[in-house]
Amino acid sequence: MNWIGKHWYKVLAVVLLTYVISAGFLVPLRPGLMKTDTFRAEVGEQISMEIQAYNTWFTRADHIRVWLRLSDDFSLLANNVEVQNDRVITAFFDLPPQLPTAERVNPTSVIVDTEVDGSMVLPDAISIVGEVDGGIDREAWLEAPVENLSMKWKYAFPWRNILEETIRNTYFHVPMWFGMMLLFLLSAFYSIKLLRTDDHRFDSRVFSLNLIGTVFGLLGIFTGAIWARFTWGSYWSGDIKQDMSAITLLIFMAYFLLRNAMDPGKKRGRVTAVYTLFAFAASIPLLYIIPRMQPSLHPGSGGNPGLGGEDLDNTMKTIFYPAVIGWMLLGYWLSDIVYRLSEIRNNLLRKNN
Amino acid sequence: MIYLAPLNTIILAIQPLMMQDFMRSTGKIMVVVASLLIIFFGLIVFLYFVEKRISKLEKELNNE
Repeated sequence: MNWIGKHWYKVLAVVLLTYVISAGFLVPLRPGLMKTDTFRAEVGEQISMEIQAYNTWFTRADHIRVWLRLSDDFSLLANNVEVQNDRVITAFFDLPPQLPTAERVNPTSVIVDTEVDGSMVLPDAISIVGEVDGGIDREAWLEAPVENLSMKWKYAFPWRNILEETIRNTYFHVPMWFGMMLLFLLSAFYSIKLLRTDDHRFDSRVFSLNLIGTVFGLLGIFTGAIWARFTWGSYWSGDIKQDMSAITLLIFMAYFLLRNAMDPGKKRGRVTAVYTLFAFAASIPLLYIIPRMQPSLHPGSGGNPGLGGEDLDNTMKTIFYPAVIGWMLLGYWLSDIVYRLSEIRNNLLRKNN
Repeated sequence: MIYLAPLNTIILAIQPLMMQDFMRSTGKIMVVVASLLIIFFGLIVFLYFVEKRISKLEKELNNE
């Protein structure tokens, strides 16, 4: 029983993370549209548009419908669709001589629907350009509304343009920050305990939690940087969350400078505990408040991201929540190892003196 | 050398493609692999740190 009481959370961490890494890589991504080869078309033109998709099975589908969708009301159905292979189709459209709106340039989405893969959207894929004073014709754009879409429910991650497979990083990059936040919270808690009791064991706790919290934060920064490189375009975009989390980490790194600059003892414990409390207090506006007041490339910016919403669907939640708990437990486990090492050293030094 | 020549040509032809598109291939899955590797190496760095501390303790014990 004692073994279980001591080690249950480590077993839980291993079980959860095994599940998270396996499911995170093995659950498929929903089919989606990647790109087209036609970006501009004029009214009255006959166009052929090659559409590249991802994870689709076009050769298995009997009914493939492709729409150009101008707005909620106006759309145009392709009069012919040729399947090149499982991932590529060519859609042929006869654009009517007139547009349904007075706008000259109309950003238009492409919608593909098959009974095998369900429906897929590529927003603003093509601009349809009308003639100056060309007049308005609504009828031609109302003939084939986007309807009767096939709904395919699959245990799969949602398709997001640009993100593509990297949506799986949600289970590795994001929990690093949750883990860091928990570890820093615990270290603030132990700092208060240290200041109240002067027990040197709490100093070791604060040190180990700050260390692993900083490691998790650095891992979050680096995994975020590589993710940003291939989605936002550069390793560091000066995004508000990037900058603020970097500042938080620098503040916590200064803790180690301060600790190394002082002689071991009660005074060092108290000074560094007070510094940890200041650092934790500074991290609250830096991590939780300022990023929500600024526009950001991160999802859920400009408000309360909370948990869920459009960025985390029900399939992802079944992996994301275990991921957060698993990485948190692993972080605590790592910090516990550092704590015990520090304590062994303290006890040795005390015996020698 | 006769056999190697076409192989060389192929490698030379696909090399620039590999360099540019490797991370973006198959839906950018390599970005996720890279992230997991970064975390893995982070844990290795942690192991190195722990080992250093243990060595220090061993030295202090042996000096008794």
